[in-house]
Amino acid sequence: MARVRIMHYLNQFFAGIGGEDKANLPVGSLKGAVGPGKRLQELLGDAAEIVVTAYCGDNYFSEHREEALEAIVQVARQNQVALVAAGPAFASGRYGFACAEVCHAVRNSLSAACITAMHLENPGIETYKQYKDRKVYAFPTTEMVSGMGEALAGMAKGLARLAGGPSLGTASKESYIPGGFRLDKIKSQTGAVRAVDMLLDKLTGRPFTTEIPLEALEKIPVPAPITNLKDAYLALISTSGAIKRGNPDGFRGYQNTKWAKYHIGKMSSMLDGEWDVIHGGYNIEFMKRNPNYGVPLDVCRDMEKEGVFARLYPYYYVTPGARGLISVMHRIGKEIVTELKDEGADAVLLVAT
Amino acid sequence: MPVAFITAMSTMAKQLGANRVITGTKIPHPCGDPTLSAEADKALRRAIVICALEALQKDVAGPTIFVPDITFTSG
Repeated sequence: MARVRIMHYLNQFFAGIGGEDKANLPVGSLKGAVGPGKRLQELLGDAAEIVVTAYCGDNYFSEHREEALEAIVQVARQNQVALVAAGPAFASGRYGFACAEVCHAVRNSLSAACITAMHLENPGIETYKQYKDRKVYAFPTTEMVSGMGEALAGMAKGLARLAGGPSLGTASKESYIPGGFRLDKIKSQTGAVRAVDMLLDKLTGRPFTTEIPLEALEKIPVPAPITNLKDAYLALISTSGAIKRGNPDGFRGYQNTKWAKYHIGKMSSMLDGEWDVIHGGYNIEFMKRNPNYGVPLDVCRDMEKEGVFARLYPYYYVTPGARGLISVMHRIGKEIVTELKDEGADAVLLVAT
Repeated sequence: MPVAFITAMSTMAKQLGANRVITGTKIPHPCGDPTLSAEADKALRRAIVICALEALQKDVAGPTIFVPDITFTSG
């Protein structure tokens, strides 16, 4: 019997093409398994075969999503694959986002079932949950690549199951990340009986399992717009990682847990100051040459002088945003906003790389 | 407090729930384009910031993407 055919999707790094310098690479493909795909193939054994590896630069994907997806779906179609594996992406945001989008596109165009894997706080998980595709499954991984072995084992298990049957069971049973919808199931007891049983369990302190777990994703209420721009006091925030020369605040390339503010009150352009750029998630060459790309001080100062708005806040706030944990970034955002409100700022321009 | 969120990854920003998203040029340089002359680069940056200022004055019902009124010249 012919083995079930799999396409594996990787970013430019895991496909062995290059690092940030190759992040603008368009979609390409290689025959057979590549990089982590080789170990995945070993784990799959005879259950299925990775016949092709599609890859794409992380930046290229984000900036040309439609074209990239079309090209990747084309690779899957030409190779007549029945299953798709994407990642693992760990905590890498651009890569995780691409994996979730690839799964969604392939699932919809070719009805191939898909398995991806990434860290629970990877922004790609929000994408995955938003699409709610049946037969797309994301398995949890560690934040760092050190968890590669486990991640591939989880993916291989899911792929082998899909190679042999139409779909996986529930998220709790198969240990993938819940996709945000419920699977229909016939129970012998009515909802009323189950609800009362659950309530009694709860009241008497017995363990129980809810049938509808609450969605943890926070909805951000829409703040009211500013009504009079000419009177507005505006602040700049950036996750670009443009920081004071010499990094006196000790920022790291990844997963920062703090923020800083730097005085720009007397500058008419970022080129007037002395900066470094620290960020583990993108090519910082352009930002180093001209930090106005991440903190658009030059044009803001011009517009302040022209009276387009009243005043520019004398500091800008920054944290290098790479692989930030949502919970930590939430706290950082709160701290910065609290300070801005105390100082009477009206609105924020936030630039993210 | 209203925030205008300038990023090249605007689709992702919208999906994550940012309410006023402005499409920037590229991930490594959201505000401007280093392949342009200094003058054109700054004009592009200004157009992006103007779009952000307009977004700050707009009432939106939920996550919304604003695209600056410019033509990207590279990539």
